[in-house]
Amino acid sequence: MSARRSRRTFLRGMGTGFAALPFLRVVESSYAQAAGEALPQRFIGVYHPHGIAAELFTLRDGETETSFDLGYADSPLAPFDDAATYGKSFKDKLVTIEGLDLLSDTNGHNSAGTILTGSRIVGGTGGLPEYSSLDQFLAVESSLGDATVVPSVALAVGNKELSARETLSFGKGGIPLSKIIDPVLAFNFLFKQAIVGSDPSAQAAAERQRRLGASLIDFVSEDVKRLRARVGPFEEQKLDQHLDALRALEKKYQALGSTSDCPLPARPTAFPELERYNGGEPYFDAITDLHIDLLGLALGCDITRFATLCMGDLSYAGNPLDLPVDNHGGMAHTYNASPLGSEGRPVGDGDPATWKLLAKFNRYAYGKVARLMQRLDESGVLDSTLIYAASDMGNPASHSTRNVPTVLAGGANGKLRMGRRIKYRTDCPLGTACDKTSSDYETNPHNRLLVSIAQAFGVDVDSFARQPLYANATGPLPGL
Amino acid sequence: MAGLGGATNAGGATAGASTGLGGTSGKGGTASADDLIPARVRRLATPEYDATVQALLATTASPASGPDFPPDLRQDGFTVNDAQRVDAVIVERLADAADELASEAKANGTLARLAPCAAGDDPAACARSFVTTFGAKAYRRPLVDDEVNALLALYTVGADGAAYEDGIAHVLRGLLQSAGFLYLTELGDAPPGTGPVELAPYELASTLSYLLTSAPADDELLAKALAGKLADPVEREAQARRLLANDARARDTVVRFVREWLGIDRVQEIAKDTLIYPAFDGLKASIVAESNDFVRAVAFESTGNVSELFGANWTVSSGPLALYRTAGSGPVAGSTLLDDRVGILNQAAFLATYANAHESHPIFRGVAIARRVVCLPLDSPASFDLSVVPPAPDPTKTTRERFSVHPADSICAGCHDVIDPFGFSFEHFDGMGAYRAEENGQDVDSSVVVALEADYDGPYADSNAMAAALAASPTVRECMARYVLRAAVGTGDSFATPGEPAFVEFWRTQPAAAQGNIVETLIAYVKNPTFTVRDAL
Repeated sequence: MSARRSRRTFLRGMGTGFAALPFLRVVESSYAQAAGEALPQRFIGVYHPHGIAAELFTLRDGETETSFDLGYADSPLAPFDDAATYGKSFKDKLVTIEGLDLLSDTNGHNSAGTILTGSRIVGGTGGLPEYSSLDQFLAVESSLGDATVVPSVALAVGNKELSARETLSFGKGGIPLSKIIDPVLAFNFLFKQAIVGSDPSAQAAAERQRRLGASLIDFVSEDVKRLRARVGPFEEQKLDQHLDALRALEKKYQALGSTSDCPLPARPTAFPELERYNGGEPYFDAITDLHIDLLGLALGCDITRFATLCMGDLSYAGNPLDLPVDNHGGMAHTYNASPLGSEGRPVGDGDPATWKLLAKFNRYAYGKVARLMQRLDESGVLDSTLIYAASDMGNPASHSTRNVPTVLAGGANGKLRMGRRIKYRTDCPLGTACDKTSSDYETNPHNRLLVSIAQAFGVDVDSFARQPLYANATGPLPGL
Repeated sequence: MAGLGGATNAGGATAGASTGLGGTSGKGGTASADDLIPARVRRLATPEYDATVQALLATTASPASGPDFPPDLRQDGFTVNDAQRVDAVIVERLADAADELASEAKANGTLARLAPCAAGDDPAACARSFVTTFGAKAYRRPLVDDEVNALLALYTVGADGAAYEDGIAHVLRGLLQSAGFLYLTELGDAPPGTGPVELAPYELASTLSYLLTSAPADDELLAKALAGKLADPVEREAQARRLLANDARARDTVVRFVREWLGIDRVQEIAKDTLIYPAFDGLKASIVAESNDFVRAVAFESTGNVSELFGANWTVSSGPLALYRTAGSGPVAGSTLLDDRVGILNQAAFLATYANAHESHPIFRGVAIARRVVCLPLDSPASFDLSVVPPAPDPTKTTRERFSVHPADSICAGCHDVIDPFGFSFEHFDGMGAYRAEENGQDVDSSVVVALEADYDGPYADSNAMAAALAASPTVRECMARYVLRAAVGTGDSFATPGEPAFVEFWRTQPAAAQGNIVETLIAYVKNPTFTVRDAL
C-alpha cells in the first residue's frame, strides 16, 4: 500500500479519475422492485473460522449439480439434510459453491473482511478493506433496511475487536461496524423498544422517553450537520455514518412502546464471561445458539432484515467436539491437504485424518446455519431470506484464500435456484503449480457472487467493490 | 522442507525488504502537501471519553471502559487514531452513558452545583447561563448562537411538565452526545480551500492536552492558548513538561505509546495451549504488569532512553520473576537484576505475544523486529502470490529446524533473509518466554548473523546479544522516533504517515541525548513546526 489513506479515500469520495467507471453507478443507483416480482427481503451473512475441508466438502464422483447426497461419512454438509435434528431437510434450500477466490490480497487471517466487501485488505498488519460490506450496502446505502425498526445488526461470538480478521460488516470507507457479542445486548438492541408492555405507567414513561429521545436526535443530528459543513470529503464519511446511526436510534425511540402480535423472546440471562481467552469459550456454543434464536425472531417479527453473525471457535479443554485445546494450532495449522485444497499444486495425497478433524468443526458451523434456517422457518421467513456462509480461507494450514468452499441457504424468494451444488474449476488445474501469470490460471472472484446477491435484491449493479483488474469485481456469477 | 510445497513467484517480483535497508522507511525526504496531517475531526477514543466526562462532571464513572462499549478501532496497532466512528451500536452506548451520567449528576448534587438557580431566579435565564458556560467546557470552545439556542430548546423539552433540574439534565444528555463534545477538531478557522490551516487557539490547547493526557486542557493550558502563546514552540515545550511532571495521565500516555508501538499490549488478549504452557494463565497478570511497569520505570524512574528499554539487565518486581533467572536487586528502586535476558524484547510480553499458542514463532518475532524496531518495511507474502504453509509439528526437530525453510534462491529469501536471523535469535525462549537450553532433546541454536548493511549488523549468540546491539543502534533510535510520531498522529499509515519526513528531519536537529530519549522525542514532536499546521480541507 502506498497511497495515504485520506488521499485515497478523498479520491474515492470525489470520484476523481474514476468518474467513468461503472462502480459509481452502484452508489448512485436506486433499487426498484419490478411489478409483482418477489425479491429476497432478508440477508444474513455468517462467518465461521478455521477454513474449510475442501476434500470432504467437494461434490463426489457420480453426483451432479442437482443430484447429490449430503449424508456421506465425514460430510461437513450433513446438517443441511438432517430432519431429525433440525426439523426438516434443507437440501432443497441450499446452494454449495466450489472454486471461488477471495481476492483479499492478504493472508487468510485478515480475509474475513473481504467476504462481504469484495475488497482487498490494505494497510498491512491491522489492515482494513476499502469498501463497505454487502449487508450495509443493501440495508443502509440502498435503503432496504429503512422499512424496519433496526436497519441492520452485526452479532459475533467471543471477539468484539474491530478488525478485518473477524468482522463481516463495514461502513463506508471500509471501517468495521461494532459487533455485539453479549446476547443481552443483542436482545436490547433488537427488542428493547418492543417490550415496554401495556401497563399505563410504563406507557406514560415511554411517551416521555419518546418525546425526550426525539428532541435529542434532532439536537445531535443538527450538531453533527453543523460540524459536517466545516470538513472535507473524507471526514464527511465519518459524520454521515454518525447521522445514519442517529436515524437508526430515532426509529427505536419512535417505536418505543409499540405493540406487536409477534411473539417476543425472553431477555437472556447474562453470561459470566463473553470474551475469548477470558474464560468465555465454554459459553460460546450457548451464546451462538442464543444469537441465532434472537435473529430468528427478529427477522420473523420484521424488526430487522439484515444481519451478520461472526462465529467463534471452541478452544478450551473438554470442548463438545473433542477438538484439540488449541483449535487454531492443533486443527487448522496441521491441515494436510491434497491438491484440491492446495490451489491445485501437486502436494501429494494429504492426510485424511486432518480433513476429518476440520470437517467436524465445519459440520458444527453448518449445524449452526441449519439451526438458523430452522428458526427462520419456524417464524415463517426462511423462504424470503438468503444466508451466505463462508470462512476466511479454504486450506487453513496454507491460509489459502483461493477455491474457498461457500454456502448459500434459504429460499431467496425464488430469485436464486436453490437445491444445487455448483462446482467451478479450481483457479489452477489440479496437479499443476500454475501462478497468476500462467495461461492456465483463471480466477473466479467471489465479487461476482456479491454482484449476483445485490442483483437478486433488486439493486442495479454490475460490479461490487473494486479490484486491480476491473473484470475481477464485475459481472454476476455465471450459472448461479 | 516438509509442508512448504512449491511456493510460486508472481511474475518475478522482488522482495520489498531490500528497498528499506539502512533504517529509513523508504518514504523519506520528499517534502510535499503529503507531509502535513490532513485537517480532520477525530472521535474521542475510549480513555479520552472517560477522562473528559470525569473532568466535566467530577465523576469517577468510566462508562466507555465498561464491558458494554465496543473497543477502539486500532490503526497500525494504535488505539488513538482518526478512524474512530459513531455507528449504530456506539450511538446507543453513548445515549445510555449520557442518561446514566445525567441521572448521577442530578442525584449527587453536581447539577445543582453546575447550574445553580436560586428561588426567585428566572429558570430560563439560569439555563442560559449553564448552557453558555458549561456548554463551552463540553465543546472545548465558546458556542455560537445556533448552538446555544439548540441547547436551550433541549432545556425547554426536558423541563416541560417537569422540574428545572430535569431540563438541565436533558441539556447535559444532549451535550454528552453532541458532535462538539465527541469530536476533537483540527480544522482551523480559515475558510476551506485556502491552503494549509493553522489550528485555532482552542484546537491547539485540546490537541496538546489530549495528545499528552487524553483529557481536556486545564485552565493554565487554555489561558496560554487563548493568549496565543502556544504558537511558540518554547511555550508548547514548557506546557508539555509541566503536564508530564504533574499529570499521571501524561505518563500513562508515554507507556501506551511504547506498548502499542511494540504491540505488547496485545498480550492481554492472548491465551496459550494449557497442555503445553500450563503456567501461562497463572503468570499472565504479572506479564501484563511488567509490560506496563517496566516501560514506566525506564521512562520516568531511570534514563528514559531507548537504549535502556532494549538493553536493560533488570526488570520490575511486578514482572513474572518466576519465569526468569534473577540475580539480586537492580539499579532502579524495586527492580531485580536479570541473568538470562536483556531488555523489553526478551521479556515475556513480547515473546508470548509474538508466538503461537503452542510454540515459539521465529517469523512473528522476526517480523516484529523488522517492522517495529528497525523500521524495515516488509510486504505480505500474499502480495507475491505466495502461499505460506506453516511447518507441521515434528517431535524430532527444533522449532528452528522446522522454520528453516526459506532457501536462498527463492523469492521467500528476499524478506526472510531479513526476518529469519532476527527471529531465530530468540529461540532460547519458548512460546511463553521461558528459557530453554534444549528442545525435543536437541540443543537450541540461537546463533544468527544479521547482515543488512545496517548499524546493528553482526554475529550474535542469541537475542540478548542482538538486543544489546539494537539498544546501541542509531537506526533503532530513529525508528523509535518514527513510531512516537505515528502514535501521536494516529492516521494508521505506517511508512506513509503525513508529517513523518519533516518530523524526522526536525528530530535529527535535536541534541543527541534527546534523540535517544522517549519522552524527549515526544516533546520534540510537540515542538516541531508542523505541530500547529494541517493540510488544506
